[in-house]
Amino acid sequence: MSNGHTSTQIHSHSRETHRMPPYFLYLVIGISIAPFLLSQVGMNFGSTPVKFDLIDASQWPAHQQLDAFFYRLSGAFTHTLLEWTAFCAAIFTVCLALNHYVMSKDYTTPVIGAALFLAGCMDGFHTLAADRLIEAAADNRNLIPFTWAICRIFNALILIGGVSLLLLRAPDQNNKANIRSLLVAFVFAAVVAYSIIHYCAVSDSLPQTQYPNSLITRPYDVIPLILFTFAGLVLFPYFYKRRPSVFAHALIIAMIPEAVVELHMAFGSSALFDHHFNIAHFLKIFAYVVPFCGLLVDYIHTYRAKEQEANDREIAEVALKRYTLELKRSNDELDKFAHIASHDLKAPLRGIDHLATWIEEDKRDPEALNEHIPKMHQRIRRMEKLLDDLLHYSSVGKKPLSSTSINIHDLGQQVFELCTPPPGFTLEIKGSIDNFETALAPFETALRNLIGNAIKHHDTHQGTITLHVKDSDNYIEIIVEDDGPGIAKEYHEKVFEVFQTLKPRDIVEGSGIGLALVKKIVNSQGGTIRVDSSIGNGTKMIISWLKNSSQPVESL
Amino acid sequence: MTTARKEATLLIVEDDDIDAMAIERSFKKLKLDNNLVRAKDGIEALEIMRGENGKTKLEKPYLILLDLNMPRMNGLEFLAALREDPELSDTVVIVLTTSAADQDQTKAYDQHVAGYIVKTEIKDSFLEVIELVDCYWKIVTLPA
Repeated sequence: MSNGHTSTQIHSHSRETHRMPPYFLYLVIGISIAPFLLSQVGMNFGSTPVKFDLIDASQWPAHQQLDAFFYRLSGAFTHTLLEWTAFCAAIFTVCLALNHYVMSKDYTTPVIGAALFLAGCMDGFHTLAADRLIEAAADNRNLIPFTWAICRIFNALILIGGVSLLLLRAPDQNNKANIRSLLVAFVFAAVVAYSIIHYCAVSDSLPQTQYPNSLITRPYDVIPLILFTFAGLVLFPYFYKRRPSVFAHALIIAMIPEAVVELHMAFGSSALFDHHFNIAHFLKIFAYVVPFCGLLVDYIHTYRAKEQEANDREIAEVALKRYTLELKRSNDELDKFAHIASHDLKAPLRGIDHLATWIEEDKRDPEALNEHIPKMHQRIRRMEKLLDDLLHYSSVGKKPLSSTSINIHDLGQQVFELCTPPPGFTLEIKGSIDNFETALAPFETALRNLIGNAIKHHDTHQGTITLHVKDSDNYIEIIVEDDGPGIAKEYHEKVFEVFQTLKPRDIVEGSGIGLALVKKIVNSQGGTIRVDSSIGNGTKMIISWLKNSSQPVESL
Repeated sequence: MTTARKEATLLIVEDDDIDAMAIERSFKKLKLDNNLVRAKDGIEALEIMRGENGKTKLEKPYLILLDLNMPRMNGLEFLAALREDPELSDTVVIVLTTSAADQDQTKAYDQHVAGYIVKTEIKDSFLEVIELVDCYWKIVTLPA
């Protein structure tokens, strides 16, 4: 059940990304029916050429004649501008389609692009012939509507042909084979296009295309109307389903203005450059612009996806690098730890083994036995302490702790007394800070270890331990200072390592975990610890303790 | 050769009292009358060998039994210091440690130790080790 659910979600998501935005569809519909609506309220988009009498004009100066000709030709100019804009839109679409293909390797775009290119070229010819920039045999009354209809039919057919080609011929694995078959189809279509153009240009008796008094004023335009409707309702939606892309979706939408163009032509336009004629030409531009917009959106999508992909990869790589480093560090630490632990845990065991042997050997010597047995107890206690401290050490930072308000003066005094200092030892607290929130247990452990160390490692029977406290922004600085023997600089790093002692355990009993534990506690809550000491000058243990930290910092 | 054996001192560098005692007991068991000197870490051993810090300088020939894990200066650090000191660099050292780790062994041999013995692999309270030491200086001429 849950599987099915997920898959539909994914599917709907992918459909979402392969669509033009909804408002784009509304915009296209709006623009397509706007001229019709505006004409209903009486607007006329037809060109009204200013006629003049040629005989009168022969008396005019040359520039006035020229102006008159321009005014006379306003319909032709409007037609040219509209057609040429459509032609340019077609060419831009082709350029973008090729660009898109280079990036996405999606064969839909160059095929449709090539189809639009040929359709655009036909339109270009139609315009040039209408403007008599290309020599044509037939007169414009027939040439313009007939070549228009031929261009439209060709436009519809080549789009349908291109899409059918994509549907029939699944893209080959072989890139070269694809391009070759594409080129063959293109050349074939180009030859057909040129043949039509040639026929239109040389033929002096083109068939009649306009029937101003019928319901269907331009019957030839019914053919592209049917073709575009078929493409928009059946073929292109089927193609979109098979090969969803934003461009394919835009192609369906583009059939709306295409069909409206033909409606205006087939049922409206009764003369050259009239109301419906101009609307149809205007909307034809739009029919080219819609796929262009589709390509733009697709382009943006593809670009974003690639960018996102690159971004994700980069993030993943950085994370991977970090994790690798972290893993290596943690492995090294574990290695070192296991190595040290096994070594240091073995030592008391070996001692016990020796002592057991000696007890056996010296069983008739009570004096020797009195020496061996306390030593054996001492080793067992040492072993126990090592194991306890080790457990304590490994559990630092594992569970979140709740914060309590801490009064450093009270706590310092309390901890000092807990360490049972010999009579000659005193605690001084310097500086004053407000109560602060932090997890009590780790803070107390750290403080106890530091004060305990200061007492334990003191070389005389008297000593003063000074607790300096200072508030600095997010941190509380705590210094545990003693007037003991001090630690030489070369051991400042070593003292914080697990099991490191500066004196043999037989002289000063200790697991060597204390300072390692303090360091781990302080680091795990986001603070730092360092030592400032030299022989004969006492020792300062300086802690920066992060305020308001109850959660252990993820040890990454 | 016998003179060398009689003269030779065994310097034990070992922080653990019991292990040091075990060596001494083995010595007694084998009735060896060689001089035994003990240092509790690398620093003390260097002081003894150089006669620094109020200690009497240990005269050659001697052989060192070296533990690796010690406070202040561990065995490997001691070896490094030893090999850098032109006067002491020729010292014969046998490592006697609880560490069976390959890396320790490699590092020790990199410093040209004469042998690497893992404590847990020997029974009878170092008797075998001391027998080895005895054989060693019976046959080998130590640097003087």
